[in-house]
Amino acid sequence: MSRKRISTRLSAVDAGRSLLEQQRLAMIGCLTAGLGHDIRNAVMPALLRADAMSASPDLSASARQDLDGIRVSILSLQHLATGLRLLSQDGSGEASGTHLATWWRDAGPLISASLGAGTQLDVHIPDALPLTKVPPNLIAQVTLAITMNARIWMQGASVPNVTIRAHALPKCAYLTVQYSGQPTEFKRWSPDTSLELPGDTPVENLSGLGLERLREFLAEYDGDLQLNEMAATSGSFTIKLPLQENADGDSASGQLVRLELSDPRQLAVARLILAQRGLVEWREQDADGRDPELMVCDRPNLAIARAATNGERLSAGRVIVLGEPETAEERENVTWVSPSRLGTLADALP
Amino acid sequence: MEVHPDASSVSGALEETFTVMCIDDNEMLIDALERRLELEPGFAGLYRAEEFAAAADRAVTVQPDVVLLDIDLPDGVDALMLLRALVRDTPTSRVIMFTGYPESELVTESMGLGAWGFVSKGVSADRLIGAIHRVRAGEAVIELDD
Repeated sequence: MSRKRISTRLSAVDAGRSLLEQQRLAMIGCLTAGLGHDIRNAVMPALLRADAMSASPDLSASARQDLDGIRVSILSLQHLATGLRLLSQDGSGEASGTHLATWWRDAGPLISASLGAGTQLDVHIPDALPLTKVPPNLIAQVTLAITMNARIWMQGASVPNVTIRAHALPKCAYLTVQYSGQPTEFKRWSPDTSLELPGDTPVENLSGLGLERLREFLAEYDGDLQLNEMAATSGSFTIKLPLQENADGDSASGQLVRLELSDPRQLAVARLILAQRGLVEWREQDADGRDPELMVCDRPNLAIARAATNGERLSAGRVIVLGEPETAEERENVTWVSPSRLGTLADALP
Repeated sequence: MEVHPDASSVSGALEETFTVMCIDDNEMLIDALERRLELEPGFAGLYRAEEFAAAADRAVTVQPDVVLLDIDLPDGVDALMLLRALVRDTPTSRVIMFTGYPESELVTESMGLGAWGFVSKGVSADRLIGAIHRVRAGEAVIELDD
């Protein structure tokens, strides 16, 4: 057989192996989603039963203690299911911004599990960070790829340690994953191959986790993945996560929004959307003299918005009304959102 | 969207008896929910949907105060169609959507269609029971993951 034919055959074998690997990963992803769902369906009855049992006056102190322990175990399973669900989401995820502390609450159990029990994990993610526009499932996938790589890299280390930190600057949040240890025997680690696709490099080289592809997905949100350093006993990656912006290119986080909605359902949905956008509901008693930057109201409360605009407590054009305009005049300086399409309220907000 | 009159308070609502209908294919969950609700003052019974496609008709017959409606129903039953029928045919019953996969779009869509609540199966039992009481009291409730 000629050298060329041998080379062609080997390439075909490699391509087949790579395809098989991709298929395996896709199946795992699909099963993960179902598993997360099934865990939830099993966990909720267990929690309800545990609640019912703990209400019994006949329960001894030791049995109550056991029950509390069982409840903690069930809840940890619940959190794991949340992480699996997050990871199994496909595509770009939801359009709403990602709150990194909430993201960690959901993804943390999976990321911790990816490192194994022997690794010291320190996490510093402040609650007050502004929202990033990168969806949580993508942040989880990138972080997991790094920590899974770290786990392999730190095999044999006497003091494996991983630190995850987040901070924000005016336009971007940054999530840094740093790992260090004192391996007894270093394995070869190449920063270049760490970014290759799965299956492209042997696992012994601690690479092929597809970080380059993930970097491309991050770039769709103007994000990036950088390898900061790779020394003999430590490594560090930084994930750049641009902040969610309004139409003017500014971060909308923290803007005060007054809600005047009579229907409790509309109010609940509006509050949810505000929270997802990093906006804050304006309440006169808590506002410290600050006026709201925006008002969302329904038709019965439109007069309140008009009065606020006339009194210059609210800029013109900063009113969103849930309802249907009846005259052309009503459209002036006001954005109308149909109550039957509540979800579009998110599009009307900064 | 029709606005129901608000109850004066949660405690006011708790003084009355109430019934719950659970439309879910998870028998284990329904049994546990019934057991847990039996501890609640005023709980007068839990109804099940034997046939999901006929669940709205069953609700018309039993007139539950609160309906827990799973979004992921078997046999091709569309839970949002069922929600529409419940809102139209039993306007005094307040529907809480119940799901293992809470998505914001689903929250806004179902609340826009007239659901009074949206509860994830990823919350604690306390929050689920609390959501039932709050909805009874006229509050709209969105409980996503813990």
